[in-house]
Amino acid sequence: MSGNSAAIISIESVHKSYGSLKALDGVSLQICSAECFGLLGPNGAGKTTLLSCIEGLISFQEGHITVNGYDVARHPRKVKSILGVQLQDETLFTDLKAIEAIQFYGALYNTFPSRAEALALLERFDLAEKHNARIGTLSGGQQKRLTLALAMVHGPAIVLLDEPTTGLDPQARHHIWDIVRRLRSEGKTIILTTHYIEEAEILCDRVGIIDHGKILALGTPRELIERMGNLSTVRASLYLPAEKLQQLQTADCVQAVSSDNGLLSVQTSDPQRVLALLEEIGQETGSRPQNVSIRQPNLEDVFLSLTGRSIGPAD
Amino acid sequence: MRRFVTEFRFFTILAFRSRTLLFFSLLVPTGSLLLFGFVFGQNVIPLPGSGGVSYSVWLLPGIIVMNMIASGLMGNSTAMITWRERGIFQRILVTPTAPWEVMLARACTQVLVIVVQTIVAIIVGSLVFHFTFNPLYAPLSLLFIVLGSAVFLLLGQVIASFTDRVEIGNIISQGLYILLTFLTGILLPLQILPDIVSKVAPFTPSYMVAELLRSAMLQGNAGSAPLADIVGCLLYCAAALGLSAAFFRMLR
Repeated sequence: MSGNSAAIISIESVHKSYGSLKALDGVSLQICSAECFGLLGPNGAGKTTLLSCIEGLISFQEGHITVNGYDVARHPRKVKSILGVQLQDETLFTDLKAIEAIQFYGALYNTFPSRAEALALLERFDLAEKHNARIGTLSGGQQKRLTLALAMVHGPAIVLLDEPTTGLDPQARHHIWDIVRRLRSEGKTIILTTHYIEEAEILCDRVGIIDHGKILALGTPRELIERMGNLSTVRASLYLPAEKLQQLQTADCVQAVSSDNGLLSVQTSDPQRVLALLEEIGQETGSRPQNVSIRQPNLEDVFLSLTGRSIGPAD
Repeated sequence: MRRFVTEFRFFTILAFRSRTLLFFSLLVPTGSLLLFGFVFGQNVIPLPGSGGVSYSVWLLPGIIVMNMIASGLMGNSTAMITWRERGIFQRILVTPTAPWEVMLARACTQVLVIVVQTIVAIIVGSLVFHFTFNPLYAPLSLLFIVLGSAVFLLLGQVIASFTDRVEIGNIISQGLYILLTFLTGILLPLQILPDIVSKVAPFTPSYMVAELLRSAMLQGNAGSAPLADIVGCLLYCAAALGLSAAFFRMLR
């Protein structure tokens, strides 16, 4: 763990179900002060549900969550005043100007930023030039930065960011990453959810891999990747029928196989042997593997080895 | 209090920035007043305790009630469904401010819009139909504008409690709007409407609010059956509040 070792957010055995669907299945986590913690998982894994429980947006059936020592269920208003929150797919009043949004949402936190203070906040998020623009006229990246600014309007020590870069172009995404890095350097505690592997690897001190409402692995990105041992990933464009995939899966040197629209990913300790196997199977099925690559493991491979499937393409 | 004032201020800015709202709040009612007034204005409508007034003068409070119905039933239901659908409530719910406070601030803005509409209607009525408004009647009129607005805003909240889709909410609210506007003695005197309508209308909120406001604006009193109309309005408010409390959801 990085930063101060004291847990500022404590999550203990949290269960949340929607009917028969277990959205959170006994999640336990400790988030330390001043760390950037990433929740990595595919859509529907339980990332947003967990954040919503911390934010007090939804109740949970079992378990406890405390934020800075305050129980979320018993002191929701206190917890809400501590947290800075950026929601996924956040919609604001599109006819408000950016500077008015800062003042309006600031008031909801009982802080009443003056025009100069609101401008200074917008400046931090590179939006000063757009302070008089109506929200509806801002680009996707600018709106995301504005929602980040709104999350910081009351100067919270803890910031929850729910997929802050989903749907953004690479340039806008890098802009958000810079902002998150700056928040980290200012000593903010950050929890961010993402399904971008690179984002989690670059920004986060620790990562929790979540799927089907369970935390499957927890550690620094390096620790998690090192747990993979010397496994590499062979990727190739090759469509294989189910029985051939099964055949590949059972090979001694193969750890995990996933196939997504003809893109095959094979985790292996012996990439050369896998290449030979693919050639062999390809000949049997009358197709040759194309666009073959071999690469060192990353968090996506960790996810693949833990769940047996790819984290999937981002939205 | 400062927080509430800030919320009210920004909702007011939003209201007067919305071209749709300005169209439906100012142009439509003013146009309706002129249209109905010019077509039927020469008729004389009897008022209790006086000889009667021209139809255009009688109509003016009705136009204001029509605005209240539009603003409450249609405007509020659409806004509340949209807030839920687009996650605006979610954004409010992650702050320490209670959402009902934000909703109340927005409701106050809607009352302010209706007051502005009333002033515009009075000015148009004075200029075109020689309507004279006694300023002494303003406090009672304002009281009934607030009461009427509360009734229809809460009824709009009930509509938003039972549907998640703006289109469905619009169908329900527009259907009710037409019924309440044309069949309850707001724009057309009950005497010229079918018997069954004139028997049912006194039990509708629009009739009660129109009776109260018309008497307040034209005669400075609360009408022939003030207690029944006020209690009726309060009962509608209580029922709508109860239904909303039980069924209204803020999250998708």
